[in-house]
Amino acid sequence: MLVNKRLLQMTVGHRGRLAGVTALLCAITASYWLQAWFLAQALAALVLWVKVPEDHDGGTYGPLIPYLAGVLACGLGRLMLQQFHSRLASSLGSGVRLKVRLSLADRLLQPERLRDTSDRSGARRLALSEGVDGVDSYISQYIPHAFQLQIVVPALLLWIAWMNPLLALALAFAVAAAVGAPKLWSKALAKRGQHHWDTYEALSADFLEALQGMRTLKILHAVPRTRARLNDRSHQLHRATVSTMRTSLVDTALADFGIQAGMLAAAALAAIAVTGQGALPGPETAAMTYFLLMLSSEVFRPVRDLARQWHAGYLGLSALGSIDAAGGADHGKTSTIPSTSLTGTGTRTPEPGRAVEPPTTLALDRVSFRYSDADPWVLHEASAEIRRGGLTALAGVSGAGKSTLFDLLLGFLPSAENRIHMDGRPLRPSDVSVVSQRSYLFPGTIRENLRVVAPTATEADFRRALETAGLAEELQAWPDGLDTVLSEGGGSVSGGQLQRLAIARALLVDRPVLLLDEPTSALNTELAGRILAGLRRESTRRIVLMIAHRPEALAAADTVLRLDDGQLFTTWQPETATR
Amino acid sequence: MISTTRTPRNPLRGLIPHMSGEWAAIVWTAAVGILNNSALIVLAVIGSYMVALAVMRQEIAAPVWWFVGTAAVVLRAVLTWHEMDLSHSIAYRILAALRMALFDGFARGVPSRKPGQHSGKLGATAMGDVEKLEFFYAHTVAQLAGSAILFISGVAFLLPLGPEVAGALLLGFAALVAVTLPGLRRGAMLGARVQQARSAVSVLAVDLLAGRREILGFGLQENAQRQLAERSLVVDAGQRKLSSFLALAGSLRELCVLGTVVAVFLAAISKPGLDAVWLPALVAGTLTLLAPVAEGVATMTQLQPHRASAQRVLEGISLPSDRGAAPAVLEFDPNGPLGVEVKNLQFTYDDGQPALRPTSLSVAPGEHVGISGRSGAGKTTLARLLVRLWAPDSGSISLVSRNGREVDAWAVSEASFRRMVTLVEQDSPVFHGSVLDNMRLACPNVTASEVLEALERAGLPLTGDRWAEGVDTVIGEQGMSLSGGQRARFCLARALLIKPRILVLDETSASLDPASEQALVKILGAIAGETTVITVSHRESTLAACDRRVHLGE
Repeated sequence: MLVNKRLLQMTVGHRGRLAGVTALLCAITASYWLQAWFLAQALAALVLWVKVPEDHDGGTYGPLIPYLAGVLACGLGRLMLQQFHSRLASSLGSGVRLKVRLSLADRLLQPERLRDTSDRSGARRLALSEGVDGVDSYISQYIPHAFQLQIVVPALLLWIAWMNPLLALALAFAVAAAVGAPKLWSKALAKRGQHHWDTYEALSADFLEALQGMRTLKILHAVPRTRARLNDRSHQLHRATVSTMRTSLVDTALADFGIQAGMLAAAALAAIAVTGQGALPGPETAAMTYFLLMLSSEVFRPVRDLARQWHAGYLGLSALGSIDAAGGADHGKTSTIPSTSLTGTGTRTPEPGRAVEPPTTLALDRVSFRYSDADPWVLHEASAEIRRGGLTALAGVSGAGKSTLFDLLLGFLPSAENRIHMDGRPLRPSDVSVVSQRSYLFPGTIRENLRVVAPTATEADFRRALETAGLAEELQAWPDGLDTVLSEGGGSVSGGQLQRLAIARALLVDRPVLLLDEPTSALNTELAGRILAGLRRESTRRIVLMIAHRPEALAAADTVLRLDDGQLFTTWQPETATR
Repeated sequence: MISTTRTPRNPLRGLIPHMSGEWAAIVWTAAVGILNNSALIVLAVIGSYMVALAVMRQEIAAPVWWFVGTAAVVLRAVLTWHEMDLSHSIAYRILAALRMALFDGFARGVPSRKPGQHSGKLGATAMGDVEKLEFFYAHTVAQLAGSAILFISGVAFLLPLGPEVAGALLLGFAALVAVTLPGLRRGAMLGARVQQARSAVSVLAVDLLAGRREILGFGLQENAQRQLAERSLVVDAGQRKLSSFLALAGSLRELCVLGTVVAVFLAAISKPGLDAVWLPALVAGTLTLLAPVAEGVATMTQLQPHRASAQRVLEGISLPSDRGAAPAVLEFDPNGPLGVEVKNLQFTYDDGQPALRPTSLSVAPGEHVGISGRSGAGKTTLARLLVRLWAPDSGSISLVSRNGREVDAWAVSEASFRRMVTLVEQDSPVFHGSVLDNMRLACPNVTASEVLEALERAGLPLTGDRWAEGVDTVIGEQGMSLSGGQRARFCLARALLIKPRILVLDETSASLDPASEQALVKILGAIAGETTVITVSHRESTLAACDRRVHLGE
């Protein structure tokens, strides 16, 4: 009842560890009961001392020692239990965290996400990092504490009721007030928590966007304005945080009130009970009184422990919204990782080296596509045949749908019917290698960037690909050669060099179809010519299709496909002088 | 250059100056804390006394005790809420200010000349690390001061009972410190490791999101997932050690408290003249007195893992600028286009790669100059130096008015310089939001019709279904819903709204088809004369329309 169902579902597959963590927490709490017993005995020994004051040096001091030693032993035993608990809780948290993070990454790495204009990387970054951490603390800390409370408190109350029903009743009321009252506004709190996280997420997204676009912001002199907006958001976040927290803290205060009021009531009841007995009680009765009193205080320990987890609890709850927005953690059925993380994009087996059979044709048979039923057709019954053994250019005015056609070939867009075939079988995404219009190279060395797409390629393969892509001179000039470090987004090399690195990367991936989106846009005529010649050589081994609008690129092509009004028109060009 | 020199050896100490302005509230928090803990002590003492009285003497305590006890219960609950509310409010207020200080630091130092800078890392600092410091600002100064005062008064109060009891208390405190001190360094080390690993996860998250197309295109999902799992596991390994360390420290502190209780018990019992009825009260009181002290000591341990966060936040705040030192104050606002005088300009990246060899260039007001050069010759670097994104290593840039007045570009105030000189880059970002939002970044007061006009001039009329909502059409982050050519024209329109005196274009035509390129060349031809245009391009057809061409790197 104290635990969010969705978050609890995320523990599927880790239930054993969750039970273990809860059991250890219960054991730790029980160790306080034992400690209370020892302390009660020690205090009761004082009663004897009061009864026979002159005797206290000889008789009473002695029995105190074993009891006090028992108290210390409880502390030592607890130390061990707490170590076990911390380890098991960490392993529970790390298991869940890994699962949620991978499942989230899987959702984010789906082709349909490429066109989601509401997706903001700063928000998604937050979900993937801090959001998942929030879920972890909810699951490894908050849930076990909530379970502990539900197990330990009723058990202890029953025990006390067996000894003193009136006391148990009073305590039960106090606990109910401390735990139950916050339920009254839990809904409001959840809502506020959600609002808080939304603000946090928006701030994170704005911050990351500002960081990534800082150069432009500076040029536009928009830094002060951006700062004002972020400041505004930051203040909103402050307000949202404080208002959520203020309510959460009422829980803590109420728990505290229940504890102290309950304790005072317990003390009063004990005092009245003892004095009602008339004659001076023996040490047994005194011990029982003290023990009961201390057990009464122990009733509240789980409540206080849970109240201390409010930060973890509320982080987890609010992170849940962010994770849902980022694609959800599979609604509990998260056992799909990572084996089925490839479902969306077909089977992608590692490249089998250079053993790929050279393909003959890529055929588009009356391909139609539009983004939604309300949108106009981008492609309407477009047909074409692209052959190996010559460079094919895809031309068309800006906005004609050239990039959309590429996305269809790449499997980024769903095409209902199997209308694109390679050598008679449907084209698979794993048949295609690509150079996008705005290529992204990962921060790290050039070698790492190449290695990741072609794990089996040799050093010689790397150099050959880089030379074909027109980077031979740079490779000579860069002091670190292949180990030259690229900064985020390739910012440490020029635009033209970045483009050629992307071409080299695509060349290294030995797939039967090579798609290039304006591969020479950032290159001068001489370099462009060199690269086009390289691509032409490459086209004897595989089908090469490039989006082109530069005259030199169009001239270098053997075949030109013109995309116009959703249709493809093929022109075979005669041998030109450029070759 | 080296920002760490400004950070004190213990970065946590560097966080304290950011509390200025909150001192009154912090003192109040400490006072509330002391009062709160006193209420708890009173409650413990009274409760124990009442029970002991009943058990040992069969007497019910006087009504005044009951009254004081009840009052303490209520006071305690209210003060608990008030103290926590207060301390957290202060903390979050400081965090909001820290975040903005970080933004200022980032605005100075981003983009850096150093290749290692990554927005994922900085983003993690701004969000994650700052949030971690909540602990410092909410739980440290007031609490430490409060528990110190409480402890000293407690010892002073117990001193009349004889040196034994107070001595036991002091011994307990010494033991608490003794079990805490040796672990501090380890805590800091483990915390740094966890924070570093977290930051690596954040960096990877940003790369995964930015490189989605390549990951999908090359089928790197498995690889990406593996890397994410690896980096996650590094965090987990550190986290496991850290929480086990913190649990151990907690257990040891608890043992110290138990030991102290036992010692006080024994010390008091051997004290003749002390009424036995007060003995349980003494023990309970000592225990409640020691609790906030133990918590204060615990804070010292729990604080250590946040050292790394503090370090990174402070580094971010004091991020050095890549630009010259002296703040520019000169107002320079002559009529008409401006010329540029570049003398011996030189620039080298921090990793030692010369990005621009000594270059001199003279552009007359209103001239349209083309700059060409082989790939990697420093064309982009020159463009960025011209608009003061980076300070040159040597050499100078001057702005020249039509009547021949020449001023150093770096002497002009930021606001007026940005109004006069602007740059459209090859890959200028478009921001999340509507068309109008983006345009207002450049000109805050621009109207919809002005925006439409600028877009039309730049060759991107907002017609057709794609732009059904006109200037309110939402564009995804990084302009993902625009084609390359559309983006280039969009950014050109944004620059035209500024009505600059000098317009620098860096490969703006690279992703345009020939028809659009010619349209762009025509626009530039039209504005040249009223604006000085410097076009950086590798493309013959773009450069052809320039009045004059300069070849870089020879």
